[in-house]
Amino acid sequence: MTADFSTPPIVGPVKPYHPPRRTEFTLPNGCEVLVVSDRRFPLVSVRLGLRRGARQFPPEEAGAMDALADLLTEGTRSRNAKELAEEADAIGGEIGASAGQDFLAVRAFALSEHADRLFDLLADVALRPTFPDGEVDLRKQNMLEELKISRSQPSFLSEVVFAKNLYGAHPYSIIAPTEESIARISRRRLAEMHAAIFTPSLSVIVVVGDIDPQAAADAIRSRFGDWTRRDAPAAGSPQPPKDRRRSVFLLDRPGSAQTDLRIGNLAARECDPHYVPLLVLNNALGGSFASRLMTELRERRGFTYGVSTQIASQQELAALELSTQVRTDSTEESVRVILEHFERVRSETISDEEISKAKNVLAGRFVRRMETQRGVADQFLRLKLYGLLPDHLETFVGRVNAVTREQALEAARRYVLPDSVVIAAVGDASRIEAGLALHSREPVRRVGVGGE
Amino acid sequence: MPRIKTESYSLPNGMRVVLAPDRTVPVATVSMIVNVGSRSERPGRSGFAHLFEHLMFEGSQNVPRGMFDKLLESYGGDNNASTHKDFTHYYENVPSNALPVALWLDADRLNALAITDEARENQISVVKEEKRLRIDNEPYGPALYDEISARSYKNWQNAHSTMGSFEELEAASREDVQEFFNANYAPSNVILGVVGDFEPEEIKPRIETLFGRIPNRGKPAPVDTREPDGAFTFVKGSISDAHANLPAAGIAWRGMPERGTRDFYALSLLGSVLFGGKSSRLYLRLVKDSQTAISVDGGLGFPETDYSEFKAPGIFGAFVVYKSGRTAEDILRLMEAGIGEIAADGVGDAELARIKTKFRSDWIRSQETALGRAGMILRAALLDGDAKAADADLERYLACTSADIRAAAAKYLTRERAMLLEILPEASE
Repeated sequence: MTADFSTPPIVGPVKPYHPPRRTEFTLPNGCEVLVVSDRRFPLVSVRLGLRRGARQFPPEEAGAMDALADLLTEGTRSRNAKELAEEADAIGGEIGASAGQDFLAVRAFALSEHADRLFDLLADVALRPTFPDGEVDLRKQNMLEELKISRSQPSFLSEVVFAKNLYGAHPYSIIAPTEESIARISRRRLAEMHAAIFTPSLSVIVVVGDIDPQAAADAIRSRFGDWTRRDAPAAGSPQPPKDRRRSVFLLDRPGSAQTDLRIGNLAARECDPHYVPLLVLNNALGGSFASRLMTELRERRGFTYGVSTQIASQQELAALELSTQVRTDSTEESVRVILEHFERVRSETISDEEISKAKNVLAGRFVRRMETQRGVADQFLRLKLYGLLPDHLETFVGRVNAVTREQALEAARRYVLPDSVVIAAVGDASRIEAGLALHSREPVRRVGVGGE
Repeated sequence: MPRIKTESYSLPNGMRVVLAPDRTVPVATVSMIVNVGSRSERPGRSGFAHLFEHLMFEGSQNVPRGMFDKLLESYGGDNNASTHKDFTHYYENVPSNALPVALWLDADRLNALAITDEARENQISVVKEEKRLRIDNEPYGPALYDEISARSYKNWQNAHSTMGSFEELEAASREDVQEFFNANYAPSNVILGVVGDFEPEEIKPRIETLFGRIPNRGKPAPVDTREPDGAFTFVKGSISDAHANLPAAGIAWRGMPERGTRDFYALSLLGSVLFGGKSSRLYLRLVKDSQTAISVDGGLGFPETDYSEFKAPGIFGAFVVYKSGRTAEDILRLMEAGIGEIAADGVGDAELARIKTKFRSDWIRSQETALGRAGMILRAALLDGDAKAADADLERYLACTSADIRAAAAKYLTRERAMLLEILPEASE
């Protein structure tokens, strides 16, 4: 090593990640199972994923899937909420569930010496929940409180406005419940929804941990083998609006010191060949601390504490989405600068330095997620639920490192669309509407807390 | 049980190094634990250790101000630091290819930190903002971060807050800051940990070149943190809180035993029995059964620090937000009834087994990341004098019996040792 300390040492690219070995099989009832042996720590993690989520049900029932997921652990045929919590403690673990638009997932872990009790607990919670009336009522009350708190937050409101107007008729447009939809939640309806989607042909079980793969497979067979097959409800959704012109949707919040902005358009899904180049491009544009937009809006102009862009890829659609909170009097200029930067990444390639940083950030974040057993389990679950290529985890770092500046430019030309973005703004309309109108190709639309 | 394989050695300038290679995932953590916390500040210089933590990110000889975070992020890494009563902890998490960059960054700031007036003034205002945000504007913030400690100790070293006073921070001259750096950030007062995906034989010469060039400046004089001898007597006080909607009781039992003693382990587990989640004794008694309280928190070291970051002397604390119509003394009596049951009968077999299982699981999971392992071995290296003590520690927690816990409850959680602080919402006065 030389004794020059003035510049950081030169290092190679992020090393590839080699996931632990897996075994896969399908039970006769259609439930897919994936077992990964990970013996670094005496823990076992398990995931039960269902290929149906909130968009399976009509908008009038918004929030019901979240309630269903939360209530799985609040009572089963053989245990009440307290007994479920005590059993989780007694095996050194935790259990919980969450729902999204496309999927529902139950997640649990325990010390590996208690793996059998972990699988029992998972099967109990997933297959035999009772949705006790008292717990349902409590959850509904809490959901109303949470909704009130959410609606006091501008970032929540701008997300509602953005999703509503980007996705239109597609169910991704609904991201929050309403007072009415919460009121409709009932024990009977939750039980019907549970029966409709908890069916083996929609399911995938992922086991990761310090366990013999054969023993794990046997344990899954014994708990889920006689789970009865039912016809799965059909999926498929109406399409969002096409051929749109850049439009502003404005929610008035009088006296607001800041404007909460969300700007974006539909983009490449994870299965699209342009997805990884788009991720790289996104990182240079607004996806990291050193990005162009962060430098411009925060450091150079001092309009905001932060700005970020992301590619939000879901099962049916993906979006490029920018989010920032800017000083009210800088709203017009901020939107102008953002649109200029959207335009610029379409007209010229990003620099060598930018692309190398973007790759480091993406690959680095990816490998760091795989440090924990829960990270590994979640990545394998995603792989199965989204139907990604089987070698996705092995090849991701390599694919990121292989992106060229030209490929990133091509991705920008296809998926960064300043002429047709949706601009959602939550702020003091009397001070920002005229400025926003300069950037809208349609008249500025005033919307309410529901985004319409 | 998994064990963390460590190799410890010292550089000629006195800096200790702990290596813990593990090549299963291509990530690594570089971490420094510095043997200075708020307890070692000089009277009149409260808040210095924490202010200094901020200054460590404000540029050094070859890293311009503002570049530390940016440079690290451009390699896919992140970083942070925290100031405790007994130490200051820094870390960088990186994909393992960038490990040499993280080492270079830490060596540059440890060797030649840029202490400028601009950075110092700027960070004094950042710290003030942090205090306003995290303490002054938070319900119960002044009680939890300031008053409980202030009323529980007699020795100023222990009693003053980590955040410090604004007047004393403002009095910090550039010379004061430089002197603090020279004394406390001397290589012999720092332990460097490298954990994760690396080859020890490759990394050792790099550490030697980067850190070995820093001159040995000796060790700072030890600070006397002992509390005066003498029996405890129950004390009670009251404050009002501008942001709280409900009254609260802060309780601190004083004179807790040192890390490594049998009572220390028993008291750590007693904290779980009394406060650990929804099946814990005092949660059930105060929140569920009597419905007097909204929330109950506590344990050994609480609210100052976690039991694992505890040198001595310390407190066993509790914080209860309760419904109007009761007094803080009512709450203390309810808690004492719960503690009294344990002091008389100990803990049942099933309950103790459940608590130990959860404790062991939490312990194991905290080791899953390179950062978690780094924290554990560096704390052991600093507080126990040996990185390997981290492994032996778990067995000593799990060896605690019901009789140990019963004895610790009876000896330490007494009325005489209690300091009771009533926190009343300002509007109700």
